Amino acid sequence: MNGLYYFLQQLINGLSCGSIYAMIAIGYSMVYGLLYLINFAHGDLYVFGTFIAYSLIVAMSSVVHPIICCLVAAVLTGGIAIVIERTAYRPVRNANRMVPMISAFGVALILKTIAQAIWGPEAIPFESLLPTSSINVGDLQIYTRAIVIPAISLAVVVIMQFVLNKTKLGRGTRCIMQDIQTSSLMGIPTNTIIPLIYALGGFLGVLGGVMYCSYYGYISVDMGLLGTIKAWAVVMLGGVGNFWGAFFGGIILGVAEAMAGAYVGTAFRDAVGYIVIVFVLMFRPEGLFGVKKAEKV
Amino acid sequence: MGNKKWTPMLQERKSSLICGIVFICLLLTPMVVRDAFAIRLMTTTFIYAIVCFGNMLICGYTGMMCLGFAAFYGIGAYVTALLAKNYGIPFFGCLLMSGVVAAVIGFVICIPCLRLTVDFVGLITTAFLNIFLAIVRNWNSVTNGANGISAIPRPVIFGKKFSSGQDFYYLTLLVMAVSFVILSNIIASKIGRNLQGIRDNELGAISVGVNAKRLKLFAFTTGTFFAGMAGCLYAYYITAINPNNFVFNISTTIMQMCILGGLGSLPGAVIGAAFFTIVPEMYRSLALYRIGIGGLIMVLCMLFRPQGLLGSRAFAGDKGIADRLRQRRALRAKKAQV
Repeated sequence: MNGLYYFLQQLINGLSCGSIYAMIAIGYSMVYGLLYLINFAHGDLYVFGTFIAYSLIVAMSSVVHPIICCLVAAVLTGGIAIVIERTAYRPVRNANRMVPMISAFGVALILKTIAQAIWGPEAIPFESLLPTSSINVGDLQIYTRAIVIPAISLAVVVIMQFVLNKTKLGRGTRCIMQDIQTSSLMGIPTNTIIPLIYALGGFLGVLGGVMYCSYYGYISVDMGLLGTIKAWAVVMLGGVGNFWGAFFGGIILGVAEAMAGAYVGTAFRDAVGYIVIVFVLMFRPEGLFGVKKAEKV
Repeated sequence: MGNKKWTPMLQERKSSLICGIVFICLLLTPMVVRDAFAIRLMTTTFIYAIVCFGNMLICGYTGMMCLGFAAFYGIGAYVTALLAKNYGIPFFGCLLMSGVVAAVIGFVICIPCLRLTVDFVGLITTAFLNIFLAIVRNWNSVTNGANGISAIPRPVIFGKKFSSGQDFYYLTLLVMAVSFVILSNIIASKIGRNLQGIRDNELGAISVGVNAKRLKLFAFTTGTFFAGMAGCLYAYYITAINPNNFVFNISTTIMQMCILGGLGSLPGAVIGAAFFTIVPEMYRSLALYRIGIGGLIMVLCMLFRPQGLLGSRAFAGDKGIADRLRQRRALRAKKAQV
């Protein structure tokens, strides 16, 4: 029975870790779906935002609730995302796909350097905002956070799905996803919607980042690039521009990594996660929930 | 139409003349420059330039995005380290084997990439880099884990032992020059034109009878071959390697070099490699801001000249700010005339 408990414990760990990946990936998925831009700045942006949240909490926690600090930081990060979009992405939107990707990468490096200059290169302990209590089910110990994190993540997916399908902003976004030129001809304000989506991505990224740092108990500038690659992998796995895809992609990656860490060895955690993704993509190149796009000359 | 004088052939002759002059200048440099540090920077530049040639063929000419290129570089270095240290294989054997092993693995990695779009190729190669690092870090009996392999013997070629900085300068320069000639001939041939066709429009190229799959395999294998060779030179030069020499950041540096130099241009690869090797040394006092300055340069380069310094127009799209400003000025001048 011990083996089973161990397995379940790892499964729960994987679920909460995967839900965090999902949160970070949702914003990424939107941007990816809109412009097919591999947004290398996403990871560093959310880490930057999480650092802001950290500073706000440290400075203001006696005055306002930490969660409000996080929301303020998330909004600020959304603002930064808009600025980045205007300066580094929009001027090169029509160039070869490689070009915006590189300027995004440049932005990532700049953000990382600024964060490093302000908060230093070392990992800083991050006080958890999530409840630390736990529930015992038989011999199985379930942390409350293992329920809270997936719940928040799921709620965000449902809300985003609603926004995308039922609101005017969402309709515009879906049009832009299909064809940017045509939708701007139809009177959809592409230059308003795209920055908004970037801002939303930054906002959700910070929420995910706060959860990530609460979960692992530290924050460091090196998390950015890792976060970008994880988010990219999750989006690819789930299918571009699909929230449920990002959600389940995140959970699959989280569980695969937890299982690999438990049964293969922690050194192979990342590698096994990637092997799973590559394996899935070999059979479903468009991702689990993706829609096949017809190619045109 | 003043441009008509420069027919493509003349232009080609002109650029190969420039390349020849640069090569001779580089040959003579160690006689003038006695500074060991400068020679070391140049040698590092040449090694990186060879890696960038490989990446240029894959990314700049074929349009596949390989973000795990450091893995192939690392494979070359590890193969050389193991062969030279444990089996005493001579230099040329190691150089060839490093290239071949990297190329074979590149061939295998390329097979799943053939059906997929650019992004997936990037992801698969990133995944491969992670798997490579996990193996190298944990296979203690062979690769000595995180400590890496040290005390790699100096190469001996035709009875001469290469140990000084100048020896390595000439060695790497020679390998780079030979690689340059081979690759520029490949690119000028029918294969090279087909590769560029695939880059610009894959479906279009297939529809006019280009065998895209075979050519992509060819480009990827050749590119990784050069990466493996560069890895071999690196291992010999640095004499001690460890997994941290081949992490994702190195991949992105290689990509940066190619992009700054200009995708779709071999001399661009050399210039990019030189830039990102030498310039960071120049503002060493600003070490904290180094990567940020690198990032700023990348953004500005993309905004003002998306195709890089010497790059192909195929990457520019609706051109950078510099081009647009020039157009606007020309338009205004025309209006003023009227």
